[in-house]
Amino acid sequence: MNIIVIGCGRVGAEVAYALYRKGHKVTVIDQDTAAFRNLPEDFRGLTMRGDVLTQDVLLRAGIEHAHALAAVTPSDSVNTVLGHIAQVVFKVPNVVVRNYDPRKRALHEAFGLQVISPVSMGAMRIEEILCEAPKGTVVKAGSGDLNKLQEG
Amino acid sequence: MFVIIAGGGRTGAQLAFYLIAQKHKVHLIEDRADVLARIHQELPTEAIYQGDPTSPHMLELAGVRECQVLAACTTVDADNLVLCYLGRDRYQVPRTIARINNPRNAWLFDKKFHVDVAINQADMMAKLIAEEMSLGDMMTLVKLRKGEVALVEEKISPQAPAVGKMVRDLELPANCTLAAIIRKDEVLAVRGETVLQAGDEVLAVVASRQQEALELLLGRPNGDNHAAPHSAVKP
Repeated sequence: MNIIVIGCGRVGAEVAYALYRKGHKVTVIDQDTAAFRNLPEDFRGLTMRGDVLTQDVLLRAGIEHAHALAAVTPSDSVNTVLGHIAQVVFKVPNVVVRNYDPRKRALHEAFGLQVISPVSMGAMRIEEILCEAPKGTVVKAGSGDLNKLQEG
Repeated sequence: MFVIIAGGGRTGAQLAFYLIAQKHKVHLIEDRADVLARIHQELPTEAIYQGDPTSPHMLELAGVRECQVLAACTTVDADNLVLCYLGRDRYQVPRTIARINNPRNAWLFDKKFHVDVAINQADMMAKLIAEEMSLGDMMTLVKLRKGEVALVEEKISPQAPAVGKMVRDLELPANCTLAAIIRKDEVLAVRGETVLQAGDEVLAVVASRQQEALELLLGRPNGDNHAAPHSAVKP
């Protein structure tokens, strides 16, 4: 699949790398070249520096032929705007946006977008672990989604 | 009229100031402490709502359900787009106006985000400056009816076919009316016998598709001012 990832912070870089490892054709866009240092050295997708809301940057990234797009910048407004145009203007079949500030989640929902809140998910998970007080050591793997409980 | 202004920077605050002077009801939303300190000196306290302008809760507090106009004047284009969309989609605001900060984002400011009117400050300034530099280029002042009709201004070039002709003898395009002539800082009413002179500034209302025909009449004979001499050379 052709996949565009917009925003190359920690989340963006990890998503892009995981997709690349699965064999997808990944293009990562960020307005700051330094952000691409978040990508592992063996990442072989495309990286593009550019102003992410401008039409020529999105077209050059191949948004017209993209199968999926993830908007994961640290701005909720920018992610929502990107998600909306990806769906409405460029008809990208699968669009996911990141909710950065949990208080702004309603904004993405108003646009009817698939939204992921890493902060809320992380906080909920931590709360679960703290309250369940599991016996034994908790080992985290990957980005924290996998938890392995070791029998004591 | 009841207007909600999101963003109290120079543009938003100045707009609020004008509207309040004209006895309109204005609620301005702003969350930056330094900006708030300034606008508290310029505007009445009851007009200022302290909080994040893009938060639905804040918009509701400011009365978004009752306002007639939402003016999105923040310095962040994505925020202005989101504001107009929320304003119409969730709160049925009758009229939305948005400020464009980066002209390259202008393509987003239309019905995609329920923007009724987009104000492109940088673009307007650039065109005004370009106008001051050129003689014989038509400038669009306002577009009406979603761009079908324009109010334009053209300074008559000394080589224009219209120079020395009476208005009644001009072969104006069908959907075009001359509204006024400005000659040496004086506004002249347009009459059939008014003779046009080089340097006159003509204000005209014209169908956008006929703008070019009008320009041929008032501008330089070869209307193609921008054709570079070398562009005819084939490689």
